[in-house]
Amino acid sequence: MTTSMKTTPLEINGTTYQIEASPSRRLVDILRHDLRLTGTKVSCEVGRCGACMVLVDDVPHNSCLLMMYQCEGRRIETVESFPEEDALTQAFVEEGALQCGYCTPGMMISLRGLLRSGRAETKEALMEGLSGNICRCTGYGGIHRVLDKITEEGLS
Amino acid sequence: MTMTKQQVWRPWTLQEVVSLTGQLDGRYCFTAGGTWLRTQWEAGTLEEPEHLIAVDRVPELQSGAAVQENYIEIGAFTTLTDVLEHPAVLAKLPVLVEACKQIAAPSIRHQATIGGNICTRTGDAVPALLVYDAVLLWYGSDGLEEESLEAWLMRETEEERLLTAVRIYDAPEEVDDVVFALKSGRRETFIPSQVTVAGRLRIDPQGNVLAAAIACGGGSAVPKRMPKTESLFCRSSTRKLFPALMHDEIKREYDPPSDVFASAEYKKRVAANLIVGEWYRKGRDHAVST
Amino acid sequence: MITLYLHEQKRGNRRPDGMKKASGRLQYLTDLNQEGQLYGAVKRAGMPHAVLKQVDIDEARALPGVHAVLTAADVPGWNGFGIADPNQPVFCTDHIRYEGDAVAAVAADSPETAQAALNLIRIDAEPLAPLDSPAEALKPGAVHLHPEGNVLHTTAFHHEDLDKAWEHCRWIVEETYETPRQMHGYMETEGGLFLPEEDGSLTVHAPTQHGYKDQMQLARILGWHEAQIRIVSSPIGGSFGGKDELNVQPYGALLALHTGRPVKIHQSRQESVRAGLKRHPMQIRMKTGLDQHGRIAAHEVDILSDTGAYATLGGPVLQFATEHAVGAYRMGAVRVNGRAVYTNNGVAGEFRGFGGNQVIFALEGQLDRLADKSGIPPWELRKRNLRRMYDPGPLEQEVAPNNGPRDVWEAVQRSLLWQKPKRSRSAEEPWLVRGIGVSLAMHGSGLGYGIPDPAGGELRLTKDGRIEAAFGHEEFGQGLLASLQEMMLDHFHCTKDDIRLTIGDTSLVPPSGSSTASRSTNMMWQALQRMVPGWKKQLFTAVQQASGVPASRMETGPGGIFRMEGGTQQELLLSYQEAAALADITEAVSFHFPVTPDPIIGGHYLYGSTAVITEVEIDQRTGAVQVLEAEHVVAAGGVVYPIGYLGQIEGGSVMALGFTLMEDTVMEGSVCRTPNLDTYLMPTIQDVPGYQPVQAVETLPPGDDYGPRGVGEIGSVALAPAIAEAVYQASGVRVERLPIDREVLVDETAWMTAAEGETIG
Repeated sequence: MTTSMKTTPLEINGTTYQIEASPSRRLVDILRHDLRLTGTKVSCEVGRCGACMVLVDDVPHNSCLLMMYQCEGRRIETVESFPEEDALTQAFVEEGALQCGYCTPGMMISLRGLLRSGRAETKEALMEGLSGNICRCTGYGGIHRVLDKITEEGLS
Repeated sequence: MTMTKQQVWRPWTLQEVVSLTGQLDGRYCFTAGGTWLRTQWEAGTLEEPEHLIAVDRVPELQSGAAVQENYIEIGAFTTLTDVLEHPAVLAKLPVLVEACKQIAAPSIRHQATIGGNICTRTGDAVPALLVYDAVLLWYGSDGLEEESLEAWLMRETEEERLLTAVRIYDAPEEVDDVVFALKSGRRETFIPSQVTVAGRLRIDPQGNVLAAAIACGGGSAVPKRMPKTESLFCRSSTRKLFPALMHDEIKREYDPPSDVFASAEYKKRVAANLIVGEWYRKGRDHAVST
Repeated sequence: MITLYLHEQKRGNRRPDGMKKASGRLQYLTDLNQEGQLYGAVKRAGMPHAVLKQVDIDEARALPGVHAVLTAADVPGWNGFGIADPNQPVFCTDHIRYEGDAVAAVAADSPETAQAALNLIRIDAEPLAPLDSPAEALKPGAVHLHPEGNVLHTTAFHHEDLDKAWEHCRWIVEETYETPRQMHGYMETEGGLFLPEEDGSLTVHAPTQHGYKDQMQLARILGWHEAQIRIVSSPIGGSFGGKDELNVQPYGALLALHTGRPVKIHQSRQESVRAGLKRHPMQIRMKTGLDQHGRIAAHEVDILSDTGAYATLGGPVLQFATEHAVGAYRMGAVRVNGRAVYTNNGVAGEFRGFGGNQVIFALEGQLDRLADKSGIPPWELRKRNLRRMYDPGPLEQEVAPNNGPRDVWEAVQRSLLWQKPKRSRSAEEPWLVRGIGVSLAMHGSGLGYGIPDPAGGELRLTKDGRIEAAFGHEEFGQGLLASLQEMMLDHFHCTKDDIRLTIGDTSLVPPSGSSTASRSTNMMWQALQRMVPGWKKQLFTAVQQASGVPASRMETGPGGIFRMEGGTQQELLLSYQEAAALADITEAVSFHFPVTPDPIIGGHYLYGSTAVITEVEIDQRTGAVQVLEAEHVVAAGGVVYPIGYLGQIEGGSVMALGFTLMEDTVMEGSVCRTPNLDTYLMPTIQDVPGYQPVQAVETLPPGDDYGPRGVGEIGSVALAPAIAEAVYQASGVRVERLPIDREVLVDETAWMTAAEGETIG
């Protein structure tokens, strides 16, 4: 049993941070505000846009919906933990899967989670996996092309 | 920006839960995945309580889905993703599977729990559970209690007990002849439901309906079983569908409220169309196979 | 004509900001933090209409951790903003005109404390009945929202004698169309970082579509000289017109100056929805008549635009709608009247398409209805009425020769999608019906006659040896940097490393006008056309003095200046860095967007054209409409950056899909009922056609040297009427109101009857 402000160890991108905060503090605030890890974006704050997506134990989660206590003992990965240049980021740029880019980190995290889960074999599975990520710029045309590349050429 | 100054309590046992709720005297809220609570807090439609009682450590809630001799039990803290991946659920409860697949998006389903979905009273899993005659297990000051989901939905009292699990007795040995869970909203996916229907039909080789369970809900409507519609189904056969008759009966029986996005009449028609559509499919299959 | 997006085709270089965005490494302005910063927050009225008596800030000011609480009394300059008419108060003084009206602003140590302080501010106000529609606001005796009354702007365009023209009409259609209060829905909500500098100046890091305009508006509010304010305005996480107007900048600036500390503001989505701009809902009545030859003999239009509480660009949007209510067609007699009316329904303002989307939906709807009535096939009917190359523009003004409408018309004739049967019903699932529709539109570029539309740029050779192009334009995702890079590479035959692209910072760039109205690509193209020869001349002259090689034998290339012989590149004469040491090589230009010589307010001179063919599927059980295919033809001059061009059309198209099928900011009694993305629904990846073929007609009329037209808006203007026609083909139901109400498409009788024919006995 526990209460109020406390120090909680959080494993983020391989580093354990001691976060002093209310256990109900949102993960997105810990990332963006406390740790200045601003690669994770914030947009709707109710889990409906996917801009704040992070991996928790390899699985995509909306960091606006997670409270600190829910993250204890779990492995959190943000967009910063992935390389700047790999097959997926290149495909995004080359296929026009981003414009303003604000939804992109969340989109990437959802895709990386899917690819890691081994369930990214069909286009349908990939689309389902991205159905919680809103992109307002591209109309998803470029994103569809990236998904085609993944399913046709096995990009990973 | 949300105020996050609550005290969070994380009891280990049901006894601790009860003693906490006594101590905190209504100034608390249970939380599991927390996805629905956060949405309401942000919208300002629900005040953030002083105390959160997180139920993630209570073992009774964490049983996942377990198959017992005469029932399947799903712990309240089981995420929708885990519900969707459990072999017993996949094998025995196809209506629930279809319903859960249509809730929110994958990332939400990784966090949101079946218990939370039920406790909203209007969750999209509820019609599916209704057609399986699901029973809820509650823990409160009087200890553990069972109550049918249908009976609980009809009561409008503020719930102070903790939902620990949902049970489905007599899960069908084999898959029903017709199973469906359909949801309609304002776009293709990740939608607040306007109409959600669920159903199971047992049909003999001649096409006579032996048993029917149908439920409707969606939007702010608390889902309900549809006994009159069920009874009509039980007098029907896939050899002769009478879709218009069926349609009228559903519209008579289902009584949802209007909201800013859709009229009651629309919801009635959609519910009737979705159910009759499934009936048509079965009739067509029957016609093709005979 | 080229089909964009084919794997084997030249795709252009990677966009310069691409990898940083893809990897999440790009810092947006709302990602910035500064040591010692305070957190700003704005107290919004939270009620749509009231007499404001008093704002009590004492308790908020006394809260520990609060550094400033400001109200109207703390605005040193003009208490108002608005691009065209600054009538939106920074802080309300006596009249609350919409939910999002600001009454106070707070700076505090933490976001939580700032929020707590907002909760302590007491608004003493007497509620007034909300004017929740233009009709209410126009009633005699309605409260005046502004000194001039409740009409922001009216337009009137008359051509020939309309009353007489009806006599020649064999077929007449009259209909009233309504369009929704669409939200821009940029993913990055408004915000930024505001820094008081040691020299007393102010640096603003906040997204906008026109840095210099923000500078002017902020200077007016602060009572400062513009030069005291530096605006850093890119990169931007989406805008679509929505960040063209000021939003949080006045509050950030005032709080920073008041506290002497850096101030960060980042609005929540809910605040963004309630306070921010929307697309103008319009009610458009059209009465259109065809003569016996199928020519439009008479066309009467009334536009009623709900402009919300303040002016911003509500006037110019109405102007644009007025012109585009005639569009690409030549008509006998025309009368268009428009009114933009103040209400308490939020604030409507600039939004991709700029009033075109609404009237094009209505106009194309008229043509489809007339086709039905007259029996002339819809596409044939359009051809009979389309403008020809040298015809005047929609307002009878002189325009650049323009064959775009006919070019896109021809291209549709060749489309395989257009050859398909216009309607069908699924055999397996009889509730699924499909239909095909097509529509056409012409859309103006630039701001139009009577609105200052300046452009300009600068070319420099930097000391570290880069060819730097500086423009006062902004990158909000549209790919402006990528287009500029392509143009620079074409001009200088150099490498990407030889180039520096500078935008979005008033301390580094010249004024170039706004990044709106599909004008930026065109303006940069024209600016480079004007600057490059002079700049190269300066450069080559300097190199000639150093090398002895005649300037006429030089050309720029990878890494530096080369000697040329017979058009082929010889040895490198000097690197760019070496050349930069010789002289200051700078060329600047400022000019005006090409404008019609005829003094007709709002009339355009340059246009792009488009046609869209779409196939939809309706589920008659629910009334859901799924867009299966959308094929676009766009005539807008040469393609600068193929993947960017394609992306503008795809993205604009899906935005139009949302406009047509699901998006609306629902107001009840002027209170927003869709304040977040759980109720305001935008398309997901499951709602869109996966592949939208886009054909670009690159041909321009002979002698047209205006260059590539922008395509930022044109993808969003013509899909709605095509969907409406496809829906009609599929279901027999005509829709006049967007988003399409599913209720009108539910049809149990139709699908059951069809089913009965098969198996249900």
